[in-house]
Amino acid sequence: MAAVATATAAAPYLALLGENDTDLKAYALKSINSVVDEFWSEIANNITEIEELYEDETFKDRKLAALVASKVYYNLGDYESAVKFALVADEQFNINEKSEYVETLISKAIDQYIKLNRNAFSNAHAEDIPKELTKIFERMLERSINEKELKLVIGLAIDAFRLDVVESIIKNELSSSDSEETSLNLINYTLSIATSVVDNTLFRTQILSSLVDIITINLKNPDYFTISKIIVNLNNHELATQLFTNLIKGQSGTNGRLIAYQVAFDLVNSASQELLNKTSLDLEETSTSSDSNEKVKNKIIRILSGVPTSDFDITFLQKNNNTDIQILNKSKTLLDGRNSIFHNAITFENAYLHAGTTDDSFFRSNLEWLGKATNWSKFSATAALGVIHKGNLSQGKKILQPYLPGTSGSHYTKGGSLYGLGLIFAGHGREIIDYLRQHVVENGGSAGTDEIDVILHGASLGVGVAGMGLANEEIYEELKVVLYSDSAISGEAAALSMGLIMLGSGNEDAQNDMFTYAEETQHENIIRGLAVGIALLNYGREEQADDIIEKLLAHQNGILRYGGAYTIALAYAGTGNNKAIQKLLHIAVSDSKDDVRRAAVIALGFVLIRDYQNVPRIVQLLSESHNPHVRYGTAMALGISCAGRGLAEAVEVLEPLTKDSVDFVRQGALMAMAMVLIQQNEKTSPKVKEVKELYATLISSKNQDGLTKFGAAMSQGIIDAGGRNVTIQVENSSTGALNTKAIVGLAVFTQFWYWYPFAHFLSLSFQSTSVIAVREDFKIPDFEILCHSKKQFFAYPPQLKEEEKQVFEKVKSAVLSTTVKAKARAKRSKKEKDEDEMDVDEKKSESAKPTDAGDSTVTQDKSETEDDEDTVVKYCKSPYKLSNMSRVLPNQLKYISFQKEDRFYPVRKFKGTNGVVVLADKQPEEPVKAIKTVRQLNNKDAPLPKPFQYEPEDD
Amino acid sequence: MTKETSEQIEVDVVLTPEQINEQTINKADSALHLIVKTVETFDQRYIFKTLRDLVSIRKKLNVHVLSHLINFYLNDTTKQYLLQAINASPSTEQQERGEVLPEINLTIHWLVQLYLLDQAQLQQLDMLNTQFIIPAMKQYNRRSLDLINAKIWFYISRTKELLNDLVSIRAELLLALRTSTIKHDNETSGSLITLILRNYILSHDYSQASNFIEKIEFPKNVSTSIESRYFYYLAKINSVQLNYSDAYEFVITAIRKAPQTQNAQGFLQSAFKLSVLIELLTGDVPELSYFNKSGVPQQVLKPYQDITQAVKLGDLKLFNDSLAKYREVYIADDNLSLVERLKSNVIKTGIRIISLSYTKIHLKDICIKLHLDNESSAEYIVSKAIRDGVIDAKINHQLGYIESNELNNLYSTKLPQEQFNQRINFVNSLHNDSVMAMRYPPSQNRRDVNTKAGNEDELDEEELMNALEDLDSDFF
Repeated sequence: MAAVATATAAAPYLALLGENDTDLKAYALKSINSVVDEFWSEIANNITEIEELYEDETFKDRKLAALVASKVYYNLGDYESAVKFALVADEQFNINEKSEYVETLISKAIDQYIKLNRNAFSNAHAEDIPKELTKIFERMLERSINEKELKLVIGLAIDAFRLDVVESIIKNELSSSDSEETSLNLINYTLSIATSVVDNTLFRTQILSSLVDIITINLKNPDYFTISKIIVNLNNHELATQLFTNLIKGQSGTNGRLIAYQVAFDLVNSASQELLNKTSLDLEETSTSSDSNEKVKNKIIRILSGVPTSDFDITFLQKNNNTDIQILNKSKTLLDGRNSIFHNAITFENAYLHAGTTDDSFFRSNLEWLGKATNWSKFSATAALGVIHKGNLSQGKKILQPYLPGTSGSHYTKGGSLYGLGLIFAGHGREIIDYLRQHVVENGGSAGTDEIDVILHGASLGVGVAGMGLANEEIYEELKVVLYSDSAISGEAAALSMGLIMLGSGNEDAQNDMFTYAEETQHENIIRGLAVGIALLNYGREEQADDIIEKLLAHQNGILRYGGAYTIALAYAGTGNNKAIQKLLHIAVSDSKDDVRRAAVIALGFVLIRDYQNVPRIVQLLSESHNPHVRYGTAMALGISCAGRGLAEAVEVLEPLTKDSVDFVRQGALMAMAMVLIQQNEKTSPKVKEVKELYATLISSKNQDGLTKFGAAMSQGIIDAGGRNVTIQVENSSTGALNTKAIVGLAVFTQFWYWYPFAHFLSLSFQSTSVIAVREDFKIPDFEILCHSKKQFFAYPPQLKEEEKQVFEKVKSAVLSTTVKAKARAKRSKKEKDEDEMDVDEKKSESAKPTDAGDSTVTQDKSETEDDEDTVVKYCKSPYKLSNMSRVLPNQLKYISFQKEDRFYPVRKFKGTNGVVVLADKQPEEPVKAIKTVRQLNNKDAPLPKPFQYEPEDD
Repeated sequence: MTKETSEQIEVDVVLTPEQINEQTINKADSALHLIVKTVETFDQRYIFKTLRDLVSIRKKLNVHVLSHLINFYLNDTTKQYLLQAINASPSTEQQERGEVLPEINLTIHWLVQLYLLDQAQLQQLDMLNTQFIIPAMKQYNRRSLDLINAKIWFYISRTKELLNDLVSIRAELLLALRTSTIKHDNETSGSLITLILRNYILSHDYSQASNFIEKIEFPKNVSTSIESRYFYYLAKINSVQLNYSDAYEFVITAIRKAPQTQNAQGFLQSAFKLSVLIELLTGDVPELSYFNKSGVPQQVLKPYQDITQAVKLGDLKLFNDSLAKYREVYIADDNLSLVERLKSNVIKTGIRIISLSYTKIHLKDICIKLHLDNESSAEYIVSKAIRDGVIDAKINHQLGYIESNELNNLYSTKLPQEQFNQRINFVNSLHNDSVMAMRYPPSQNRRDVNTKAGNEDELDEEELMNALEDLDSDFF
């Protein structure tokens, strides 16, 4: 080839191609093949000749011609043609060759294959995939399998929608190795890809079903916890029933029983109400062989009812309630209760602060203030009781009894109490739903009159919240009757509740009904209710909701386009789908209606829940939009996606918005800030103190707009919500599953823009932050768990001091005059005892600057932080102890462990999951000191050893 | 040494070589520090600045500075061959360094290349290139390396060119081009394309070159210096292939895109020369002011000015005289063939001038005016000129004269419109390009909020923006 190396043109060989003699042609081809990388630009002129050679079936070296053509196309950058010719070059194309050409072509070939196969999956009439392409794909997979790159292969196979390959790999691995560790790893890997990456819902269902088969049939020790995750994803109650019956029947004894309980608790935490209900119904029908099994079964059914979980939660919240009532009292005095917007603000602040704690003392001690509520603020105030008692399933109805219909109160309290009742039983509505439905049915026909409408409004919302995700057609029909009476007040609630009931079902008929009626009715309220209802109905449906999204977005009615934006938000929640984001960004800058643009930006927050770190960057430019609605949307999007994460970048974007020139933007920014910084202390987010002070200043300031003050008061409630023991958790940090209830809560909460009572929906997204370890008999043993980190990162923020408030107020009134000094002197004599405070006072009176009080505490604080060098949460070898059922923050979870030598140990390896943990007891006979739950406390006559054999029906 | 000390007594600002070395090392250090920043922030612009800063110390590079950098930054294997290449002894101190950033590694390689090139140690450099640098570049696939790779390839190719060994590097360049295209490494592909074209042109392989440009797609978003180079070569190739109008457009683009700094003078001059020739070949005559450009010495363009004059006057004699006089210059500029082609243009211009002055003229008179031998050749030339559209006239063969047609009013033709359209298009595309090149200013809001924290970064950013204002000065 020496001659070739010095050649400066391929022309001689190209000329030979024109000869008639096939040997000459073959020789020319061979020579060209060796110089093609250098002279491709010249050879490309004759590419048609080379292609003709390939097409000439009689030519013996036609495959070589194909190879040369492929190389030329490769150099020309036309990879599709290059792959086409490489494939027909057959054995001439050596896939094991280590050259850039081969590697590039193979990767392009795989890309092509993936594209074609995906197309074939969703489209029955898709073009056929060339056999050679499949062969290359499979050969590459084989090569990786031989190199033990199994995860890579699984990823590729899933990408190409080749379920058979995935299955065979896992099965092979199972049969080839003794330990099931690696296969379990693979299964979990597949599961996580399937749930987080695969965007075709149909294919995802297929993967998940096949995984269940593999786990149950092929594994010797099936991993029930993995199955339970799959069940939640598939929403398949038959599988759940099967799982439980297996566990009950299984030979594993105590352990199997305990696992069953743990799985049941997990399901309650993450599964839809429909799934839970159907599973327990199925379980009731199955008969078990022995008495003991029957007991286990009943216990599972009991757990699935959600009662124990709610009971534990509420006990935790009540026991650890750490509300700073000072903040609330101060805001109450500052905001005039006669003004309904301020009355509402305090109502919501109170509701959030005490959500789930059952502490309604604020209402009881401020009856006079409560009396100032009129009309709908009365409605909200009564419903607030429901938020405060959220999850108090046993006492709920008793507490609201004085306000329910049938008593002598106003119709606003009646409606509010029904709504409140729904909130108490949110997501666990079995015990109450019939009662609520009764009100809907009784009044359904006579909607339109003032009184009935208010009651219906409350009852419909109550039914919706309590029966969320039940997908119960009867309830749906009952609500439809209310809707069809075409009354703005009750119709709106009914429309929304229809969506709640059918949550995520994608029910075609319901969707059509709602859409058609939205086009017919004249009431904007009802249209809005329906629009949001349709969004709820499509929760998590991803591309299956595309049709309705298109229809809504293309509609001339702005309210329906608004619904379209929300439908994208909920259908694609947490998927980070690029198409959805693009669509939303487009709407956000181009729609003619402000409401729609606002909704589109808010929707971005929902879609990006899992990629929350990127949200500040994406919405940053939008936060500087000229349109205040878009800015408001930005704030909310940040609040939603970064809720409870304490992300510093998000705070950075929000901060300028709190000083915005438009009042409602400030409101949104304040609330979003509270959502982001919920449960943070100064150690984890230094900004917290500043933000809280900002709320206080805004509320007390005389020249702030009402809307801003309203926002500040709500924010005070959110940031310290649930006695400082709850967070807003939209994504389960350990399993990566989305928290449906929280997302729905947030979505409806954002509707408070139009209708304040919807603000109560935020309570649905509050999740108590605790580790509650329970024994098989649902007793909560009093023992200690370990936390491998420093205490101060997870401490409660300090409470507001009484004095501080006085100092503050005094300074407020400190007008520059000599009277200030006189007053200060008087004060000094009063407060002789405290030297420090006096110093502060003196400084104040001399400089008469209102900020000094804050400054002095800040400097004090700084010296404290300097003492302690650690500013980042770190793993510590020496743990400190926490008692069972105490506050454990989400970012604290990974440092929590159980003592190995302890009497109690978790039945599932503890991997940072919050909520209920089922314990195994090494000494079951020994008596144990247990923490009493709210239900037990209220239920004194039940015999203590076996509290749950009795079904207390009276409450 | 004594000489230096005595100098120091007189002018104490003059620095000792040691101090200069120290300054150079400091500059290099801070430039290399920016590279780390690029890697951290994925912001390519820092590398731009590094390369710019480093070019400024090119003149001051010496064995001492380089060996210090090599010893300080690189690991043992690399150290060894680089030190050998610059004839420095390896330092005794052994310090363990962590992972060397590929960016820093290759940047130092590049500095060594510069040094060896400036010292004219071509053989040494060539060996270093083929044995170590090319394999080293192939190891990495990082986008932050793009700009550095582009530079290094330039010097590899330049070395070969100086060694007059053009063909052997061609395959390597083509291969690298393929690789960089696949990796979407635009800067390197752009650079390689120009290098390959240059390679073809230097070896007068114009047909290959035109084959090549037909098939490749010049990448977007490459430095303007590389782009202008590319357009220059396009102009060159097109002009050789008689495609003057395209060639003219290309050469104008090349001149417009060329960096307006001292370092780019050489390129600009050759581009000017080419543009004069192409303009003449298209039948136009450049303005006199064209030859009085600021920054371009008069004598540089003098040969071309003379030729232009000959063409303008249509004076064949003058043309032949200048051609004989400046022949060597044209050969050196690789423009001789183009100049020779102008001969027919001289004649055509002569004819045009005649046709402008006379509405009717005998062929014999033309012969006299143009110093032609006989009437038939004059007839031939005139008829060709008519066919080419140079003049608008008729030949009366019987009586042996030509008669010009009535001159059209230029403003009644479409010509002004076309000109106008062309200019508007240019302005529009300039506007579009500027809009696309804009970046959002740092947010005003943010500045208010954290004035303290962001200060340092902001300073950096400002400095960077200033540096980028007059970017790409160094490539020529």
